[in-house]
Amino acid sequence: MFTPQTGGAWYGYIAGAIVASIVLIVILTQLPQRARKWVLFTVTFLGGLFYALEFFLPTHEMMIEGNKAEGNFLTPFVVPMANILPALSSFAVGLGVINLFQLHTKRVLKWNLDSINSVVFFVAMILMTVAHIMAKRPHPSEFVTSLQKILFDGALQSLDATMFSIIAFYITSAAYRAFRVRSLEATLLLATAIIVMLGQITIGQLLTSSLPDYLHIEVVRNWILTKVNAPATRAIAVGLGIGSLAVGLRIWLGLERGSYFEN
Amino acid sequence: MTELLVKNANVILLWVGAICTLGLYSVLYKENRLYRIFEHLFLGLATGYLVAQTWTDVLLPKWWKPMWDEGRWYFIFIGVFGSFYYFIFSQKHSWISRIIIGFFLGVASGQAFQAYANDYWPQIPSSFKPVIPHPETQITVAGKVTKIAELTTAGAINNLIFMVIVFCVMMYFFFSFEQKNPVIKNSAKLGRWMMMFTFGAIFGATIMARLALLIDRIDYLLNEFGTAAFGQGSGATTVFGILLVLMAIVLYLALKKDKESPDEGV
Repeated sequence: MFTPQTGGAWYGYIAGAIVASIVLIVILTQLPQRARKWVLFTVTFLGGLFYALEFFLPTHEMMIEGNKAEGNFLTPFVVPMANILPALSSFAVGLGVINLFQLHTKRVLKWNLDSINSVVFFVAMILMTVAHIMAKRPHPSEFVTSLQKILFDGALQSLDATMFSIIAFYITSAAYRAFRVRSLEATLLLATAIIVMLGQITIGQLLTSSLPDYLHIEVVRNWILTKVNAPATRAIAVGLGIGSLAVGLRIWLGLERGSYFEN
Repeated sequence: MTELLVKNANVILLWVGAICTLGLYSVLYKENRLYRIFEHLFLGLATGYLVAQTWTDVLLPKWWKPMWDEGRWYFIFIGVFGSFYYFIFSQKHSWISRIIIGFFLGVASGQAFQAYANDYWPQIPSSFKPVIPHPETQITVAGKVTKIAELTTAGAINNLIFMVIVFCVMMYFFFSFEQKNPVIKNSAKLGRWMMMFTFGAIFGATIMARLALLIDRIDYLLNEFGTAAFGQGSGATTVFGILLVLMAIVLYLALKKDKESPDEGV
């Protein structure tokens, strides 16, 4: 049944699938409160079951797309799943776009001095969407390619880099507050940040060039990053891993309570 | 118009980049209309790019083409399942959107096992390092000769520091019982200090990264844009002069504002 079709058969199957989907949606809308909870639990469990089974089931040598590999009967479906899941999650992009549309349409309809911002938003969004999609088609015109280049390389890239560089100014004020020496912890934070920053620039390296090699600021910086920063980050990461595993298990088995499963 | 744009695309691109850069930097004086416009321009372009990229890089090759061109009719179910997200806009049936959200929560939970085994678990055994200095040696295990690199005294001390820090930081996050035992209490305290080193290093690196971006924008204005707009030789100097004038105007306006209303400001 789940084989590729062509011509009239394809249209027939598509029509059948649409009808089946409508029936499914109608059934879902009629479900009572208690049944909804079970639907949510089942879908969540099935979503995790594939990857859990693929991981836990014993493996053996097998051929996947003509290549020798180690796996079980679910392993050949890992790549198709990796293609399907991004496509499925991409539909969520529309939620954000609809939200922005609702907000800016309201602002345009009010029509005051701030509405110009929303008009700029709409024009920029539509231009970029059309230009990028047209530019990605086979044999795009020179006009489309140039327009896409101006919008992406000229405007978007510049705005992106500038927006993030503005943070440099604000982070300086934040640094002043964070780095005030008030406690041992704040002193350690201050000292490490200064060493890391000075060790990265020439003037810092110049300041300590007359000291013994092991006291050169770039050497101290490197030691801090590899021998202090790395193990602390590793310990945090391992804790994070154990935490996400525990939370994952709770969600997968429907043990997590709260607004998701309850209402 | 079309020909003009195609012929001068590179010059227009540099002008657009410079105008956008200066437009956003105008916020450094104060929140103003020009900044708001460029902020919305950024938002619009970024949204448009996200929408277009989602279509060209994900939905078109992974969903539409297999369904439409390769005859995989059952891919229509991806579209139907994906449309469940949009039930969030229905007050009565918004719970249907939780089906797909739940599916992805389940997928993420299932993948957590693999992520733990592949990403986090190997970090635990690799944190146990040799702490006794030794010269370069060879050992034979099951007929296989393995060379072990020399471990100097400094290397051994570094390894010990590494292990102590891993232990102490993990101890800090150990909340299963009250940390009353002096060994546990003090190692957790040491762990907190070590994390301060880490956060300081991360903060320092973040500041440097942001400053690098700022330097990159100034370099763009002076060299790339300056050369394109005012010629090879004096381009950078001219733009530098213009920037100085702009900064002087901003400074004058700021000082004037301060004199008029000294209580305002941060």
